[in-house]
Amino acid sequence: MSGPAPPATEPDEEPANSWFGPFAIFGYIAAIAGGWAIYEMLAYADLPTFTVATLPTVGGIAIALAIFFWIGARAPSND
Amino acid sequence: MTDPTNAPPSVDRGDLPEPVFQKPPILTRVLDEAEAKIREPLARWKFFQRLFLLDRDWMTRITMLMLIGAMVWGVIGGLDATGFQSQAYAYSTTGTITLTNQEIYSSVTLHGLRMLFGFAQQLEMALFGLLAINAMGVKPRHKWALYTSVGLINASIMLLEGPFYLWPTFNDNYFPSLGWTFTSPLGIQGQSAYVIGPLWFIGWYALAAAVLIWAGWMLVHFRDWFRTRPAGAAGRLPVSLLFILATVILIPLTYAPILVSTTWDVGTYYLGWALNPLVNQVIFWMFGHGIVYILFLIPVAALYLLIPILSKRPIYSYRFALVAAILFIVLTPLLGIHHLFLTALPTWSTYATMVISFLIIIPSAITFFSLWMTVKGVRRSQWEWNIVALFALLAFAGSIAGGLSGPDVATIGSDVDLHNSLFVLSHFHTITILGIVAGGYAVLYAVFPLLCGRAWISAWLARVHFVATAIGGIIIVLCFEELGALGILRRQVLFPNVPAVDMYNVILMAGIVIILVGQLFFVLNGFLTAYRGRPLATTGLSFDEAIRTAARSTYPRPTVPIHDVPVERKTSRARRERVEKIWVGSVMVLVIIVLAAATPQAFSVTQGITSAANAPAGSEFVTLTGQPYYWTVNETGPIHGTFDNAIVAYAGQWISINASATGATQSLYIPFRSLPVVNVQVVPGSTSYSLFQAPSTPGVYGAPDGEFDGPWFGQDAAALIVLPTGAVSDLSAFQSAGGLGDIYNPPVMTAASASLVGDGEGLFNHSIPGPTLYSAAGVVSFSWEVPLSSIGINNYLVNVTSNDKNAQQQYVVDHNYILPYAVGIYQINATRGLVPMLVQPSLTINHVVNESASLASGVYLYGLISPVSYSYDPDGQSNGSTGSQLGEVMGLWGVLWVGP
Repeated sequence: MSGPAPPATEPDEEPANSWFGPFAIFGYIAAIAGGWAIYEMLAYADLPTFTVATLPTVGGIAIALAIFFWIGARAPSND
Repeated sequence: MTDPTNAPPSVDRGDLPEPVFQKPPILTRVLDEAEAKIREPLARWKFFQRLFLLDRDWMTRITMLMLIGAMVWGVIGGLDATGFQSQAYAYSTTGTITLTNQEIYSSVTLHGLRMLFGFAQQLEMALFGLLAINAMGVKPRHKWALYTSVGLINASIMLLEGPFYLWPTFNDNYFPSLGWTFTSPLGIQGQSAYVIGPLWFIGWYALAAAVLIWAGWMLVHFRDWFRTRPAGAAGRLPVSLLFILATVILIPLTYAPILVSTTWDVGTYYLGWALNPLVNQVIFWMFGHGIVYILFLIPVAALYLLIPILSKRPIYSYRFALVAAILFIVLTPLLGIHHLFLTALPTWSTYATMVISFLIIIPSAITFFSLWMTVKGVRRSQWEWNIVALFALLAFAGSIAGGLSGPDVATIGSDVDLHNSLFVLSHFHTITILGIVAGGYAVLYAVFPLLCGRAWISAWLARVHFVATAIGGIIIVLCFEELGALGILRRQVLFPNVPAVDMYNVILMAGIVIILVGQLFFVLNGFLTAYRGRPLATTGLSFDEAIRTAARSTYPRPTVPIHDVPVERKTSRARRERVEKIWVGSVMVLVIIVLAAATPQAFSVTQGITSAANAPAGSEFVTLTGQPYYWTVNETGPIHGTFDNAIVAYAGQWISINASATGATQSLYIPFRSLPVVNVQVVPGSTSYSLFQAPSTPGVYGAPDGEFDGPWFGQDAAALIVLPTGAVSDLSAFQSAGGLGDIYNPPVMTAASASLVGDGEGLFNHSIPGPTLYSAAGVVSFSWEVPLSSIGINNYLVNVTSNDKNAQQQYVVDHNYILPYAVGIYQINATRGLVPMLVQPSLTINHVVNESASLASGVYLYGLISPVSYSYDPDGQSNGSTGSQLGEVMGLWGVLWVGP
C-alpha cells in the first residue's frame, strides 16, 4: 500500500480541565482573591451601620462570585 | 501592469535629487547629529552598549531608556515608602521618630509621585509603545517627540521634588508634603498655611505634557496602522491593543483636568484668581481617579495579551472585549467624585457617581470572565508556569481582589466607615502592587528578552523576584486592611500605640523590606541579562512564538513547544457569547439590586452632610472652624463655650455640627465601633453638616482630623468630651465599654500615679490628646515634665527650624528653660466655657511639675490648651521659590476627670 502514512495518534488521557490545569488554578486564585475581598469587609461587620451601609454591596459581591464560578464551570471550553 | 520605463521620475529610484522639503527639519538633523555624537563614543563601552542598547534602532533605545528610568524611580519610590514606614516602625517599637515631619510626609508624597508616574506611567508608556508598534507592524516615526516625552516625564518627577539648598546649609526639607498630589487649597499662596514652591506646578505641567505628547505619538502610529490595515477580520486590532488604544484615548481625558486644576491653582497663587476649592477638587479628581484606571489598563492589556499567547488560543470573546474597552473609556472620566462623597457636593452628583462607579464593574466583569474562560480547555501539559504566567496569575488575582474592594468604597454608606482609613490603602495597593505591578512585570518578562535580544540569564533570580513581590505585596495589603479595620487613618505616623497597631506596623515594615529586596533580584537579573545573557534566537518566529520563547527562558525545564498551533473553533461564537451575555446580564441585575438596597443610606449620608438636619430639642449646636492644625469649637445649647480641639456634649445628647475650614480640607473623624462612625469632610469655601448622637457612656473619645493638611497632621487631633448628665461618675463604664471601640481614645490613667512626660512630637506619653487622668474629688495631684531631651525639630514648642537638635535645645537654655505658654488646669463649665483653676503663665522645660489642687467633681482640661504658632523657616530660606509652612499646633494637653 502506498501513500503517506496516517498521522500517529495518541490516546488523549489528560482531561481538558483537570483539577490542576490552568483553568482550575486561575479559578482557585480567583476564589481566594474574591474571598479576600469579602473578608475585608466582614471585618467591619461589628459596625452598627454595616447592615444598611455595607451588607448590600458585600452580599452582591458574594453572589456575583458564586455566579462567576457557576457559569464558568458550565461554560463551553475555549476550543 | 505599469511599464517601469514609462514611470515618472522618482526620488526613491534616485532619478531626482531629494527635495529640500523632504529632508528632516534642521532641528531634527541637529538633534540627530548631537545624539550620534553622544551615543557613538558611549557605544564603544560594552557596559553602555549592552545596557542602553546603543547599537540598536532608536525605538529600541528609547524603550530601554524608559524601562531603566521606570526601574530607577521604582526603586527610589520603594525607598520613599521605607522612609515613612521606618518611622512608623520606630514609633511602634520605641516611641521615637528620627526624621522630620517634613521628611516623613514628603516621603509619602514622593513615594506616590515616583511610583505612579516615574515608575508605572513610564513603564506603561514603554511597554505599550513597544507592543503597539510591534503588534501593528508599523514603522515608528517621530523619534524626537518620543525623546521629548521621555525627557519631560523624568524631568517632571525631579521638579515635583521641589527645591533643596546646598548652601548656606544643606536643606532638602522643601520636598512637598502635600499628598501624592494636592487637594486645593493646600499649597496655594494666600489660601493655605502650607505653601508649595513653584517647581511643583511646573512639574505637573511637565508631567502632563510628557504623557500627552506620548499619547499623540501613539495616535499617529494607530493612524498609520488604520490606513494600511488589511481588510476583514485580519484588519482588526489585536485584543490587547484595544486596551492600549483605550489608554491612549483616556490620557487626554484624564490629563486635561489636571492642566485645568493646576492652572487654576497657579492663577490663584500668582494672579489672585478667585478659587472654589470644592469645584477645583472635582476637576482634580477627574484626573486623580482617571490615572488609576489608565494604569489599571496595564494588567488588563497584559492579561489580554499574554493569556491567549500562553494558552495558544484566541480570547474567548473578542466582541465582549471590545465592549469592555469602550465602557472603560466612557465611564472612567466620570468617577472622580467618589473621592468626595463626604464633602458638601450636591446629592445628585454623589449619587450619580455612585451609580457610575457600580457600572464600571461591568467592563471589569467582562474582562476577568473572558480571561478565565480563555484558558478553559487548555491541558495541564500544554501550559507552563514560567514567570510570565506566574505574574499573569498574580495580576489576575490582584486585579480581582483589589477590584472587588472598590465597590465598598464606592458605596456612599460604607464610605463613611472607610474613607481616608488605611482600608483605602489596602484597596489601592492591592490594585497597584498585585495588579498593576504584577501585570507590568508579566509583560516585562515577556518582552525584555525581545528588546535586548537576549534570553533571561537566571530563572532562579526571576523566581525569587516573583515570590518576594507576591509575599511582600500580600503582607502590605493585609496589614493595611487590618489597620484600616481598626480605624487607623492613612498618612498618620503618630498613631495610637496599642499592641495591635504596633504589631501590624512592624509586620508592614517587614513586607516593605521583602518586596524591596525582591526588586533588587529583578534589577540584577535584568542587568545581567542585558549584559551577559545568551542571544535569543527569534528569527522566523511569529510575535506570539517570540513571546513564548522569551517566557520559557524563565522556566528551568521547559517542555511546552513554543510554536503556534492552528486553532479551529469547536464552540461557536454564538455559544461563547451566550455565556458572556448570561454572565454580564447577571452582573447587571445584581448591580441594580445592590444600588436599590444601598440608595436609602446613600441619600441619608449625603443629605446629612449637605444640609442642616432638624436637630431634636436639647441638641448641642457646634460650630467648627478648621484650620491647620486644629478646630476652633464654638458651642451653644445646654453647654456654652469656646474650645480649641475639644467638642463637649452630654451623654446621649444630639450634636449638630456646622463646619467650615480655611487653609486645607479638614475632616471630623470619630471611628466608633459600637456606634455609627462620624466622618465628614470640610472643604474650604463650603459648609458641611453632621447630626449625631453623643455616646451614652461619658468619657473622652478621640476625634482626629481625617484629612491630611500638612506636616503637623499627626498632632491634628481633637476630642469629643462626653459629660455625664448627672453627677460626674468615674470612668469605669467607659473603660469596660472599651471606649466604644474608638481606637483614638486617649488612655485612661489614675492621676496620682500618672507620670506625664512630653515627647519629641510635643505630646504627653505619645498620646494625642494626652492621657485622660482620673481622680476622686478633693486634692488632686499629678506630675508632668517636658524634658529638654524632647526638644527638637519636630517639637513645635520651640520655633527654631534646624536639623541640628542642639539648636532648639540651645534656644531653651538661652531662655532659662522658660517658654511663654500658659499651662494649667481649666474647668469645663456648662455656661462659661473654660474656667482657669490653676494656671502658670509659662512652661518650664526640664522641670518636673507637681500639680496639686483641690478640685470638685467635674471635668477639666490640663496642659497647654491653645495652639502654638509655628513657622518652618530653616535659615530664612522660606520664600517664594521654596514655599513656606505655617501652622497652629497643639498636642500637650488632655482631660482631667474628677469623679465623686
